[in-house]
Amino acid sequence: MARMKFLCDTERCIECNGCVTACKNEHEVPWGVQRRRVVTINDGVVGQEKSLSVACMHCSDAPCMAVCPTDCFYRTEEGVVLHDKDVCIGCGYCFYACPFGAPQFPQSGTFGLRGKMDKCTFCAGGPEEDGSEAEFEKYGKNRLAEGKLPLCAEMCSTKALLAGDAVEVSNIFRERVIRRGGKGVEAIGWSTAYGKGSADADTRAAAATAPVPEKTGGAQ
Amino acid sequence: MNSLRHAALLAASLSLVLLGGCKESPQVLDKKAGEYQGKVDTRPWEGPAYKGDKATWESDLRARSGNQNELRRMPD
Repeated sequence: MARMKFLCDTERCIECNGCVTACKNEHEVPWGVQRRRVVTINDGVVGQEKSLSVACMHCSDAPCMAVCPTDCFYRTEEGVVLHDKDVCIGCGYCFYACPFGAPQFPQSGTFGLRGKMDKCTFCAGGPEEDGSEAEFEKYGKNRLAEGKLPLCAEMCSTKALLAGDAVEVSNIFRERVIRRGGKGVEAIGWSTAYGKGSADADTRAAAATAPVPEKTGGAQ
Repeated sequence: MNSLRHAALLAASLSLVLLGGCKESPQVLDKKAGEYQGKVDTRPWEGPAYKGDKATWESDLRARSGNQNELRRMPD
């Protein structure tokens, strides 16, 4: 299995916000935190207005990973960028580094105290036992461990938002572009996120993944 | 005389306590810059649903990915 990737086809996005709602509901994301959102570019310009669904793109060479002072980020073997909330100090460096504005910080109290960073997990949970209460509380549902793709993409009514293995996603998009006679520039953000790889990223992936531990109990 | 001795003893112990505050003990035991510092995560196919069966997990994900292509679901 190669890298997991998101692709938003701006030619198809109708700004229904179904992906946003699906994400919010699936992970019970707190008020004020938007793991995914729909943005409109060239707003009001006739013929050039495009909507696209944006979240963490799980970049090949993730800038958030590079700037984190506590090194709480890791990349899984499937190319999903995740973080350990127990290590995060909520400094906000990742927010400034991210080209997609993905990192979110829950705020509470009179002075708007900033909590630990929260972002899209590609529905892959985090560094807690798969499917456990602790994992759900901190990171949301782990659909990947259930053999499912992120709900935002699976819920998308026009299939503008695609998720999954890079080869599969690229093939689907290529087929569409050929059929409709486009140029393939509709996948905004794709080259920013996946334009370059990193050898360091693979090293981190190897370090962050456990050697097959024994699992006991748990529901099917 | 006795009270003077007590005062000197108190001053000596107080200075020791104050000097103790100057020591900075390391709060992270094994921090290496640029290396992931959090807990180790398991792979998705190692959970209760797949029990380490990577091949089945991969084929299930591939099928799900393929289902996103409505062009293949329609007859030509």
